[in-house]
Amino acid sequence: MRTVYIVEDDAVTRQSLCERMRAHGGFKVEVAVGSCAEIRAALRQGRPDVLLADLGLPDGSGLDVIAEAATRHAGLPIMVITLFGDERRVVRAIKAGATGYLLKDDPTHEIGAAIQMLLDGGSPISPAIARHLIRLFQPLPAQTPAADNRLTAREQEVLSLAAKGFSYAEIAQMLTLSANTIASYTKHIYEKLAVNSRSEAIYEASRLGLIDRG
Amino acid sequence: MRLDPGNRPRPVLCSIAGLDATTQTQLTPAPAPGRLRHGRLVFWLAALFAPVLLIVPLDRAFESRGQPPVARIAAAEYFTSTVTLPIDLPATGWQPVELGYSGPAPAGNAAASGWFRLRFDAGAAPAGLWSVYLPKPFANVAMFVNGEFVGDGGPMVEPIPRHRRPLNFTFPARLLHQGENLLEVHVVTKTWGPRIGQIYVAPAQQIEPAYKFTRAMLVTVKQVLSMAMFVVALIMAVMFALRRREGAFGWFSLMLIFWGIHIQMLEMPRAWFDPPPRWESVQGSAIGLYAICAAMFILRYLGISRPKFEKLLLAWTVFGVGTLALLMGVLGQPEPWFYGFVWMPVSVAIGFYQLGLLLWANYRNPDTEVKVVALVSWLGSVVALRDALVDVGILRGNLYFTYVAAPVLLVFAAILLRRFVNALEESERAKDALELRVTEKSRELELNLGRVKDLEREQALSAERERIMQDMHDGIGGQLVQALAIASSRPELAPIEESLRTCLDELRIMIDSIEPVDGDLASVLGTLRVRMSRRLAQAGVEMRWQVGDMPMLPQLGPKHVLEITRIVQEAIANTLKHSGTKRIGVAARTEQGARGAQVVVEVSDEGGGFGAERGEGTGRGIAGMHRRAALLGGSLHIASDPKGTTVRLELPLELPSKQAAPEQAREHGSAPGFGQAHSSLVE
Repeated sequence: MRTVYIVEDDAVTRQSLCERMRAHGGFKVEVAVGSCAEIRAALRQGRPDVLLADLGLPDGSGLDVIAEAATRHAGLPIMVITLFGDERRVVRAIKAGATGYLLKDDPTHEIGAAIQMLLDGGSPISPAIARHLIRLFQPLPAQTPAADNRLTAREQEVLSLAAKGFSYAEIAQMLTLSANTIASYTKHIYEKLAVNSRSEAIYEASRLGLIDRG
Repeated sequence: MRLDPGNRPRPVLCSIAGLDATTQTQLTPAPAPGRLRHGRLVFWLAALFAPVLLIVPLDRAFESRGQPPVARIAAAEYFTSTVTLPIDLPATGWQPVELGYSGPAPAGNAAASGWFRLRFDAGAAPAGLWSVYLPKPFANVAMFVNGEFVGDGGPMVEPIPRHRRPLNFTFPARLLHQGENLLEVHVVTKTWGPRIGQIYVAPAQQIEPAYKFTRAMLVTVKQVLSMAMFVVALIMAVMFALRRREGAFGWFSLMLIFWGIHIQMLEMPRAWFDPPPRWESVQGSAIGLYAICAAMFILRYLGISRPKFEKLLLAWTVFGVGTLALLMGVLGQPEPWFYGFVWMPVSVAIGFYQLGLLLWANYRNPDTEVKVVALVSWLGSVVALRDALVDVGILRGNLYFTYVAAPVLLVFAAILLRRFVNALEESERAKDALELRVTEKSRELELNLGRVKDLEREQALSAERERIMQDMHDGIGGQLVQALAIASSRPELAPIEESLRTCLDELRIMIDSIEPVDGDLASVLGTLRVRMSRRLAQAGVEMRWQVGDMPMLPQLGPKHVLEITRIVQEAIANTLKHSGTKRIGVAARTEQGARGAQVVVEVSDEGGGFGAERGEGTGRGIAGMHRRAALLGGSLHIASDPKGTTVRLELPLELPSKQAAPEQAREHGSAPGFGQAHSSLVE
């Protein structure tokens, strides 16, 4: 039984998620709260197997919660809960440290599959996110010195096919790899993006004199 | 005319002669004829004979027009004496000589003085004006006819003039007797021994044309040329002063100045200063300096850098001129061995180097201008050689080196004129190029400004999108999810749940379409696939996805995305509703169509085609798809048979611009609410 923490401000949705978790049977929701403060307190006291986080919270941004959780519990699978699964919100969450995403209305079996993928070391992707990532990883002429965490040729291939709408199973078949491997490529890409955005943030901050790198 | 062989040859020309002897052997051996093209052979042959084309006509002119058509006096008698009047001369003790005879050279700094006595026949009745004509006396003379003074070439005491020019003394015929007459010529000189050269006595009108011609050639032309040199030198000096980087101007100017000084000093009847060795040293230095400046000029002209050679040349100039000044000027040495054996041979070597440079430059990089300069250099060399041979008495004739100045000045005036014109043209071209660049830059700037404006608009749009998204997230979207959560928890609300899901999916497709897609049609189709995947899965339909590489569609904007999405969505929905197929294929690729490259999106099924089972409503949906395809500048084709149906959307790579679409978008009927709302939102 995997333990799950949920932070979602909308009570109905939160309740619905808890029910879907229970219905799935493989997960135990230990914490289901509606604010940053509550989830922070919970994360200080314990470490779940998976954290599901909404972005719009009444007392702060879910992105901060994700970033804190990723720092406090290294390797913790974090999923961002979104309404549309739009690439802006998802990519922002990935930069903060999330490695997966859920739609608020995803049916039980899909949620279960998504969490399981995450626990198995993989991440989901959508064509829009893939396209967005391709652009983000394009080498810029004025690349910040720390952000040189580039994609491998294989990772680029996976992104390119995912952007065209191919499923992991189809990509796996085309590249004669397993779907799990493809999912793990995606996770690596997300992690690189998070590392890059962290070093970019450090670079920016030191450039602005906000922190001392010495 | 011919110089007395006993005279010391003027070293100036002698040295140049040496130079020419060397360069001549350099030039003469022609390369293997087989390697030469015809035109080049002709040029080099013509160039080889160019000096002849100068020397022969001059010789002819001096021969035919420079000598009066009268008998030359052949015999004379010479007597060394310092007396100034014929009456003081003894009757005997005269030495019979030929006219080319030269008396003993002056000792030390003293002037030599001597007398020539000649007899001539004035005929039966001499009348009118008569002339005594000396084409080139060199020394100064005083002329007496039958004991009467008829004129002199200047003061017979120091400073004594010398005459490298004709002297003509006219006198009335009454001084003459019938038959034999006596001509007594007092000669004084400081440079050589007393001599008079050729001499003619005849009625004035018989002498005058020859005298005028010789005077023009030996005085006027040389004066004009040396003045022209000074004028050109002045122009060049000004040019150099204005353009210090153009060293060629400066050296050419100096070269002309030294050459002009040399001509002036050579031709000038009266020395400005004595003694003659000092005069000679300055004149000799001048021609040596001319050779040095010419070499420097050629280096600059060819743009060749030889810093070591230039330093050596400078050192040599200082040393040579210094030594000459010391030996000849200060010590007044009458036989300057340094001049003849060191200064001039080195000048020869410099001249040889210069001609070599020209030929080498032309060999490395054939250039007509360099060829012409080399030709002039060669011409000057040969003429100088000839002059030197005349000077030492091996050849007969006049000295022609000065006349080489005419082609030299002409050639360089032409070259400078050409360069000036070229520079003007170049500056005009540069101006045009600059204008072109300014135009280009301002166009670029406009373009950039446009881009900035686009970017600003893009940013404003992006902010607007964000606001709308947030709004939908907090408002309708959140409400839908809540409603869905409630509906899904009660089995009796299942139909509503399905309807709410469809609403949510529609909303997501709307949201997707307003995201910027960077012209990537494949990801638009992919996103739609994801959005429809649940419905397909529920219907148990397998998707065959065949989306290949496609070029970027730069105009692909939200309206296009929505139109394309709607067409594909409608096609898939129709298939799901009517065909009963278990397999739907979506393919997208680039194809070569009738109007060039196009993008093709195909939705195909393996259902029963357009049969009775397809409902009435289908017609309206298909009409809408056609309209949308037309709005995209493309076309829709539906092929249906019992084996299946294929909906084929063809799109141009250049989609209609963003402005055109919204006007028409309101006209078509399908999903009017979304279409309109969307259009007004993103504009």
